[in-house]
Amino acid sequence: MKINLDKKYVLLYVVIATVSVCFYIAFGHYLSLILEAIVMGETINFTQSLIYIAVFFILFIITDKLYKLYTTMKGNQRIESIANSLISKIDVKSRRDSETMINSIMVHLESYRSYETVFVPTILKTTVKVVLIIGALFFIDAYAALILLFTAPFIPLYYVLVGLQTRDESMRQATRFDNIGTLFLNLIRGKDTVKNTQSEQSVTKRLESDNEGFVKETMHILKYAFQSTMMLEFITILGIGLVALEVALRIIIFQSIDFYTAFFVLLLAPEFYNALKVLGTEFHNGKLAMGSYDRVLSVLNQESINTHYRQTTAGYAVLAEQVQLNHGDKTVLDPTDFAFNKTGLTAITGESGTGKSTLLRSILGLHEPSQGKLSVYTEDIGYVSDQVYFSDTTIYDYIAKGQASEEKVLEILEKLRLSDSIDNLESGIHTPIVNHNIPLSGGEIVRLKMARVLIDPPAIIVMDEPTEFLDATTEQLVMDHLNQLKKQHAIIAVIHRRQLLKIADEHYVMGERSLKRGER
Amino acid sequence: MMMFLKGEKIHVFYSIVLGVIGGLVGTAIFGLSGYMIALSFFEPPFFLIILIIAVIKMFGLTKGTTKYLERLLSHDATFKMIGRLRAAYFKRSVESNQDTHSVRYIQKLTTYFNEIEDYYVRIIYPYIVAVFIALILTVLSLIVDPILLMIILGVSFLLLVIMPLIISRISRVSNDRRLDSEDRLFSRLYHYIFDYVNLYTVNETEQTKDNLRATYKEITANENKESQVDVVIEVMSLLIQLAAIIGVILLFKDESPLLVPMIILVLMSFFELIIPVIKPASKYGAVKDRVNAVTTEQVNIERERSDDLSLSQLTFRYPETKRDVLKDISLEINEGEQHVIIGSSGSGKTTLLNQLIKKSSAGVMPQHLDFYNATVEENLTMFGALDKINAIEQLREYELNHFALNEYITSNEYLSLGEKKRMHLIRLILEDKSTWILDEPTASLNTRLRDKVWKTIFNKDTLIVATHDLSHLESFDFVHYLENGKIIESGSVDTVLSHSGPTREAYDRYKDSL
Repeated sequence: MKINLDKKYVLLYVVIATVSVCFYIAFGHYLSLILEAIVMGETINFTQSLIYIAVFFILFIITDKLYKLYTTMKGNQRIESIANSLISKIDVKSRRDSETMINSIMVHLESYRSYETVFVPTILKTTVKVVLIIGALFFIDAYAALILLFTAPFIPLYYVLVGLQTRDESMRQATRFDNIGTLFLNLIRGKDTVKNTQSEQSVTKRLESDNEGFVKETMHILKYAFQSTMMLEFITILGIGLVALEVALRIIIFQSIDFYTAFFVLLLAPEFYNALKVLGTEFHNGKLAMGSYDRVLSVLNQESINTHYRQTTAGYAVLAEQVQLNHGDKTVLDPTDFAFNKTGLTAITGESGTGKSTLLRSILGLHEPSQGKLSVYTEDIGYVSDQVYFSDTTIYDYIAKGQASEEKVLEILEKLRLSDSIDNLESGIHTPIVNHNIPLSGGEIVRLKMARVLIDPPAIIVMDEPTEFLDATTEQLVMDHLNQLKKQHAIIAVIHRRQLLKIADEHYVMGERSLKRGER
Repeated sequence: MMMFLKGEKIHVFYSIVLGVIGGLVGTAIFGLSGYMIALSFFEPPFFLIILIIAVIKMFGLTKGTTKYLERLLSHDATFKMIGRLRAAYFKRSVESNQDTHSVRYIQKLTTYFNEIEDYYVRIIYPYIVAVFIALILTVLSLIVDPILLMIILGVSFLLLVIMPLIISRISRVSNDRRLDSEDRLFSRLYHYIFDYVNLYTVNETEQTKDNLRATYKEITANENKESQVDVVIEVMSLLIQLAAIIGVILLFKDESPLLVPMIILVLMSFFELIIPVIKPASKYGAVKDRVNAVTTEQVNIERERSDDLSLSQLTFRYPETKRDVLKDISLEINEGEQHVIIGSSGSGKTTLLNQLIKKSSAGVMPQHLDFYNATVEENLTMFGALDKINAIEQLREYELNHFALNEYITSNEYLSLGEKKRMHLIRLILEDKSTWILDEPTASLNTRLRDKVWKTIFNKDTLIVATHDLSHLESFDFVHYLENGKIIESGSVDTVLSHSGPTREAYDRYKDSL
């Protein structure tokens, strides 16, 4: 398996881990020495030896925990940088599958975190440990080291054999568990429909039978997995037993080793096997985490939109030369030339689904034409959308955009006849507007959106159905205002109402992949 | 909790017994090997050493086997428990009024259930096993020396009682903080995604991105803090281990030197057994809260459903808000009448409709349509609750025949809004109630499909429809005009259209549209 880490850091990790394991071996060395003295009744300087034990053990603790802290923080940093890349991926298209984006940051990246913070450091540390222990043992007791070397390959070999057998099956089960979990979650989410259709019983039955089947099959697979752990345990015991036998034989029969060697070997041998087992289990966890990473990657690899395609033109508000617009595979506008004037109201009409909003977005810089040259007079374009959506803010902050004074905000509100209804609110212009809880009517919301653009009108203003929710009086008010404004600004508006055509200077109709001049 | 382990109680019992045996045997292996080498130097009979090694191996086999059985039992118990918890949670959730549509709500629920999955296998069970092993070792240590008893008891008390208690305080706080920053991250992400075009046009995307990154930094800081706590736990426990080793050497080197290697190896393997338990054990409180949250939290404030759809003087506001969304709404709706509710977006139509949906037993199409990760057929028949006769015909009728009945659909982003509307309409047709309550039934449909859907709708005796689509206004009996949470005009369609007023005006505007 690939390790997602810079070579530089791999080296650094290996160095820290090496130092740490060496300290542990030194601790074992002094512990064995002192125990030899105790058991064999030799006289040594106890205080000094105990200090060595303590010092090396403490050094081991410090380096080992430093390693853990450092590698975890490094991993968290990596995760943060992936999160930042994901955040940078958010654009105008994200709204369509917002859940995928949000889940990739909050769920899948989170499941992947342990790969960076646990898996990678553990794999490196454990590998170092295995190598160093076997190396140390060659110095202490070559026979024991040979036994370890001989039995060790059985562990990875066994993993490979069993792993091959169960991997696909267990992956499938993991996916199935996810699916049952997902069905459960989206049943919870859609419980209203379950309630409204009185289908609670059939749904509960489905959930229960799903789970029963799942438990049955999973336990079948887990049986294999646990059996393999058991076999590993046996191999380990066999190895340790062999080492113990070797040590005992050499002590009693050949009398060729001392207590120090015997104890040291018995202290290190289990560490060696444990390390191998850890490698095995971590590989499994690592595989699962990589599954989540794939889902993160699929979001990261999505094509980003280009927002730097517009050229500038001095003569027109918008100038299009052979511009073609596509929506996915579908062409909504064949290569077309058009020019919108720097002043006056340009109205665009057409049936829904013909690509009017796509055209507006391409002017705003959010939808790159698939071919042709699109130029704008300025990139500073005001936009009044047809969506009733607000980020959490206050009326004042929303309109002022951090610049305009309170007087100016009140002035524009007065102009759009919003003052009365806003004065009636508890905190006036400082009333919070929170999505789904906006204390204003539909028509007031539209005017609020306009106020934001009109307080300091840019040279070009793009509007999507500006009078959609207005009654006749306010519609007239807005129209008067736009009539005034268009004398010095370019207003490009998608409209659905004949009424507005009265004040339009140009009229285009969009439909059948074309943009044609319409009736006036 | 335990009630969800019904039939598995005996499994739990066995797995604890097996866990204790396995742990003890594991410790014994180390102790015995330590004793063996010490003994070897004093020329024991050779068969004794062979015997010890044989015992060690046998213990090893026992340990492996018990661990195998214990893991089977504990996992089986956990999976069954999770299954029951889910079913119970689902039942309660159907009865409650909680709005479960938010992505964040579902994310939180996922985390809760993941943590609960660990509740038994990683938190409670290993702790119980560790406590038992500690107790048994304490008793056994009495054979060697009362001082050893004190050491083991002291160590166990420190590691299994004091440390989890202290850490659980810290981990509860950091857990809450973690949830807070995740909530914040979620709502900021949500706003950024849904308000993107506006933020882009006022040049605020960079600023918003920076805010998001700052919020993510909180999560990283929290993770780092968590690992610092982990490291502190491990350093503390290792220092305690060192103290215990040095203590044993100093205390026993003169009195019973032959036992020192054994005691040290036993202690070291004992530590290896209980140190990993500390952190999970300290999570007990926090996870217990989760368990309580999914087993008891929702309250049932469900009203009785009835066939009477009339409302009188209904005023409504969402919890934790200051403004009435519906003000003094009275509606008289009798069987056989077809009513339409019109008004601009944000006027309260959906809220009003949801109030009606809650109290009625009619066939309903709410604003938010639910689909599930299952086949088209299961989605249409609600997993078999509705009769599936002529489902295929209906799919063809509403131009959905590109879906096969056994096609697997996922709840999210698989169907377009227009497809969802039509799929749900088929559900209503299969359900075959005489009264329908519908929220924007023709939104996102082309003219041809719109007319088809309206035709089906008007076949029903009793109707309440909220809509922007006024193309069939004149086919209704009664119209109610909603503005800012109030009904400002109400009456029979003919009367209301015969004089000027908001409905007349809206209708004219509708006909004026291009």
